[in-house]
Amino acid sequence: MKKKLLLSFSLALMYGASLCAGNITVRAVKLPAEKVFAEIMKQSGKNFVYSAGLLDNMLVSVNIKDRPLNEALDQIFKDTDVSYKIRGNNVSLFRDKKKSKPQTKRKIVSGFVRESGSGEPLVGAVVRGTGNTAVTNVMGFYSISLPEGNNSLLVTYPGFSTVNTGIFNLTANRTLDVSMEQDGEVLDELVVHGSKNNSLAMESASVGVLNLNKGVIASTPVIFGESDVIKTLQLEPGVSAGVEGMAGMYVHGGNADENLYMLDNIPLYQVNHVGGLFSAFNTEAIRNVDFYKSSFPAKYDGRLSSYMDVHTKDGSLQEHHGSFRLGLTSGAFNIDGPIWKGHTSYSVALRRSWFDVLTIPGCAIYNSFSKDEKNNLGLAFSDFNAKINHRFSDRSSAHVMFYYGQDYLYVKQSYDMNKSEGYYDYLKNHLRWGNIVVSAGWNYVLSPKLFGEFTAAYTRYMSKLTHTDEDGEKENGKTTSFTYSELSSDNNINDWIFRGDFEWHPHDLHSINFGAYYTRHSFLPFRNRRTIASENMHETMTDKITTYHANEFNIYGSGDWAPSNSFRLNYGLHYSLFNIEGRTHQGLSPRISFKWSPTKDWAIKAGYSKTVQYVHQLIQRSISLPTDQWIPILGAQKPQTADKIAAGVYYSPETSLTFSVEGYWKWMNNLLEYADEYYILPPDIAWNEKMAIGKGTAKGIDFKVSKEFGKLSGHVSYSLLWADRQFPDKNHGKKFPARFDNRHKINVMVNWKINNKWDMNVSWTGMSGNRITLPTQCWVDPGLAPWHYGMTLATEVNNYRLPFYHRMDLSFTRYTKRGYWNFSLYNAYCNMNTIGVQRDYSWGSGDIVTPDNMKHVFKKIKLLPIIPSVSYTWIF
Amino acid sequence: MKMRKFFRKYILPLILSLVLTSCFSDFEPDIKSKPVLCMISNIADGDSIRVSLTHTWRWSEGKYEPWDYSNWETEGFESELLVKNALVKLYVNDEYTETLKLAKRKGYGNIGSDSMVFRLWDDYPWTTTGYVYYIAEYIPKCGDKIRLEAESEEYGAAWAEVTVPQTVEIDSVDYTISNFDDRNTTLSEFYLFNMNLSVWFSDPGNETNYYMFETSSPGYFKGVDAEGIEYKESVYFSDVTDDPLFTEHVSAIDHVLAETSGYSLFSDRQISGKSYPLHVRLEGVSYQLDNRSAIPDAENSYIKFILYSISPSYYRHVISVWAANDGIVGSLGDVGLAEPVFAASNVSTGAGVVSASAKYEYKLYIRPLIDSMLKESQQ
Repeated sequence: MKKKLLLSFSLALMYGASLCAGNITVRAVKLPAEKVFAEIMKQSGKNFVYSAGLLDNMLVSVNIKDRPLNEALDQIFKDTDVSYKIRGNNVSLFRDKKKSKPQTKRKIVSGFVRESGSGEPLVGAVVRGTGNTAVTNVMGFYSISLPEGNNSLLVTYPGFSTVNTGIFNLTANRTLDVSMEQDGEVLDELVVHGSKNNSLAMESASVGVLNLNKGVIASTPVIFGESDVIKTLQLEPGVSAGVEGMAGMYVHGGNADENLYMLDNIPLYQVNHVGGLFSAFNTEAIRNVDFYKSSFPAKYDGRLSSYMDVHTKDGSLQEHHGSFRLGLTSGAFNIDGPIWKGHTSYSVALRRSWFDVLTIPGCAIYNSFSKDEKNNLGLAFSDFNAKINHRFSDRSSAHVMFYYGQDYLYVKQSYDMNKSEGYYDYLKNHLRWGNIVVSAGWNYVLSPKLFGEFTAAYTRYMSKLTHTDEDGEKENGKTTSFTYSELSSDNNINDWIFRGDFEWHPHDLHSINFGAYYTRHSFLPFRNRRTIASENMHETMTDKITTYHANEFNIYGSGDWAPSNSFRLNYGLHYSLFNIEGRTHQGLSPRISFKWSPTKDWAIKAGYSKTVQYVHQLIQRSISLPTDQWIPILGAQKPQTADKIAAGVYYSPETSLTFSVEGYWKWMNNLLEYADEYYILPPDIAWNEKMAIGKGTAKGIDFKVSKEFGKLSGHVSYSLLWADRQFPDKNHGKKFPARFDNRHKINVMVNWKINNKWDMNVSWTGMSGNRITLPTQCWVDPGLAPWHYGMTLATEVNNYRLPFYHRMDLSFTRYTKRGYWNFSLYNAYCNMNTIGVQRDYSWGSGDIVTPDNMKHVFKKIKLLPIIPSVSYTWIF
Repeated sequence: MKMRKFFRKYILPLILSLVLTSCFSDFEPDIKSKPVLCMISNIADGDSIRVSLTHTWRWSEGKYEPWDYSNWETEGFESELLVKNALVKLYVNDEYTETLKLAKRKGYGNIGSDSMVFRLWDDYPWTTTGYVYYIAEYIPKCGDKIRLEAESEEYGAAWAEVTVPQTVEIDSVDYTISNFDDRNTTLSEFYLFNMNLSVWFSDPGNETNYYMFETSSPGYFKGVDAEGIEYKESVYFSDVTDDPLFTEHVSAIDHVLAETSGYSLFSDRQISGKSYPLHVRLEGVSYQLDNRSAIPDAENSYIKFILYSISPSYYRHVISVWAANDGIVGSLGDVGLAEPVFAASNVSTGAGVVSASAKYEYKLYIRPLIDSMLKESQQ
């Protein structure tokens, strides 16, 4: 297909030197009008002036040799409703009403656009017909209205060869499925190019929307070479990463819990592993990711800052294939293929870390040096994705998806003087936390204009921590006395979700999305159970905490109206009800955004979104721990809300290059954060007693230049941000900057396809440091507790900005016949960035403590040096 | 081969030098701060009110605290942190009572109320008024609402309020003894055993009450009996396991990641208005009498249980110190991975603690207990 196009293009655009000034030579057969005009402009030296969209989807044929320009234009516009006027050096093109044909009846063509071979739906493929354009939805479905008679469709999708369906006679509504082939011969795992985002920037009405495919995620260099969707998003303007190395995401001055992470439209609560070092999303299981940071579709609500919907792979309907990856920290295996060729497919992806493979022998070696004392440590994470997809017919398909991710950590220490005699002490700590998602969905084309998706899902988050300590005495192998203490905490969330989502195309220029969903939440906040026991005593104390049940109901509707190619309006409304403990809260979230294109290369957009959040995560630290529990609003607490206005200007002189400037202003209300001195309250006290309620604002500008495909692709971005918070019960009620108020942030991401065997990726991030609370004054120890020098005097929150942060990551990919190697360097030039400040001592020489050899100092804590990693992926 | 040499000669040292770069570097943050008054006092029922007045200092100035151990032997040492020219006023039950006078004590020693004994701090019952302090003539009693106001020209004003809590009595102590081991010799008596105890008390339940609990033994005692026979007697125990209430401020994650067992403070949150037995297990309780022919006084050897009623400011401060130094948030805060934990203060400047306490002591005499054990074993 690609070769054919190239050939026709080269033949068509042959021209010779003009014999006379103003004459041109051009030959084209059904080529896009814009390409032909580019050539004519080159030869004639004339400027062509026309309104945006006039030449969209126009395929032209012309055969002129050394003839005046007007003859060429007459031939080109012969059978169209376009006329021209030549004035001086300008040629104006316009729609000529006289030439317009009388209105004809229209029919609907609908169907699915899928990848040839695997049958995976292609989301966001552009389907162009006569005078109309449609975009495929998340299931690859499109619906387009066309005039009766002969028609053809031109289907484009980034990274895939353009498909022309050929001419078909349209007399009634019909279905037409399209299969598209990948462009080029690169391994399908690693296609990086694409202009989906260019299309989103220039054609959609939304501000701050991004689509990532698996290739982009896999090629972004990250720590330990563990590709990660959240770390890829961290390179986007307006997204702060939080603490170095972590898969945190703070969007436009928001908090970590204000992002809704979804797996095939089902919320996921636990989104990371190993304290946040890795995200819970296995790249091997991902098809693509939609990310919204400014304009939010009405379909989504429930979080204030961003929405990330991860679409998992459906699996190929034609053949089995998969891959096996082995890296420094984890291994991953995935396979997919048909169960029933052409009808049913499966996709399975498994990832597991293997830190414990190192710790087990490490502990064994350590333990071999001691007869009495044994230590064991295990730390691991794993996740498992599985999906079965079945097509009943061209109109109906269903899927079942399963996700299981968990982390565990155990520490066991035992001291046994003698196995059968004397003193012993056994200590066990065990942590286990994770998420399960099960969902089943049915997609049905109810009519050519109406597409429906029905989903039932169950999502469960659980964490359990257990600490046991037993010591005692043994005699002749029998325990004669012992003391046993146990503290266990468990926290879980169980959600049942039922939803129906619909897409309706009532009119050529208008599409409507609507739907409703119900969620039954059950929250069990951390419940502690404390036990002490001895040979003749056993006491247990369990917190009086019960499960809270909540009912959440959401209904939404949105419309996308494009009266002309230069204007598009997206509007919507999301209404939600949240009932808990006899109280019902409600939220009304209007959404509106528009796009105006003064010329084809420019787009100007603006929008407003309101979001409402009923559940939030209690986070005490910058690293993720299983105690970061999700809890609902309770008692007098009101739902958190955010009002956001955003505007953007986009310029795309060619489809692979996009310049954008997006500005936003966000007002957040009823924000919840830990109040001052919350840590004094017992851990099992009701969480709402520890919280402060306040507000915040965030404003900023994101600049970005991106080139999405070609030998050299990537993006450069700069973001400017101001974010602050204000809580009556925090910081004496005074306003303070948000922790991740990274004022300036620059990202550079470059992907260079050196040749067929080598790829190189470079990313560089530079940003104003995070803000921290740094107490400088101290006071004398009152001696009520074990002595410590210098009690900390409370100071203003986030009063110090850490030094400027910068880092470069590099990765090289070497393709082999069977797969590819990836070599990466995290923090390639080893700039150890400051992550915190510690009050400490600086020691001089000598052992005696005197003011001369021991100074009290502030110390910058610098964390990660250069970290090389390597992985190999075998593809079959 | 050339590549290897090049790698070994240039690349490897370069990588190593980068990787092994120090993770810490000293600096002085560009944050302006000024010292404020710090007021410290623990007020006990029936004891004089002593107030230590100092000022805060910037960490990097590294000042000596008034009782800095490196100056123990310097008699009359006066820390430069002391504020001696302030006006300190006492208000009792909202009425002005007196202006405190500056006092000075020479030499090292415990000068405060011993009601501030902290269980984990078993060497000395330290108090913190140091060598120079302000003292009032008024002797407070339970229920008094005490307000202290201080003003210094240099460091501004500070005030704090506290109510002296009511004493809560220990109603009774139940116990069981296990692993009783008689290791007597012809000259001396030596017994070793474990004890499980229930220390009963009744929470008044009128408002939130805070407690601290302590178990101690007198250790070594030297005496002469009624017949003039000299003897040495001792009671020790090697390990104490406390009630689950004492760990209510310790979460599982603190146990697991910070490996802390907490301090013996608790609130009545879970036992408000109830009679509750504090469970105490003593392991390796030993009683020794070096001279079998002596008849020691029954009240020489005992295990003492002290129930302190403490003010909220006392409780809050100690828990904050625990959270800062032993808890997971404080531990992570030290390395920049969590917000710092501040020492809780009820003084208007945020520096210092004005706390109050009242105590009740209960002694469980050991010698009669051993005698009854021996009697039981003979039967």
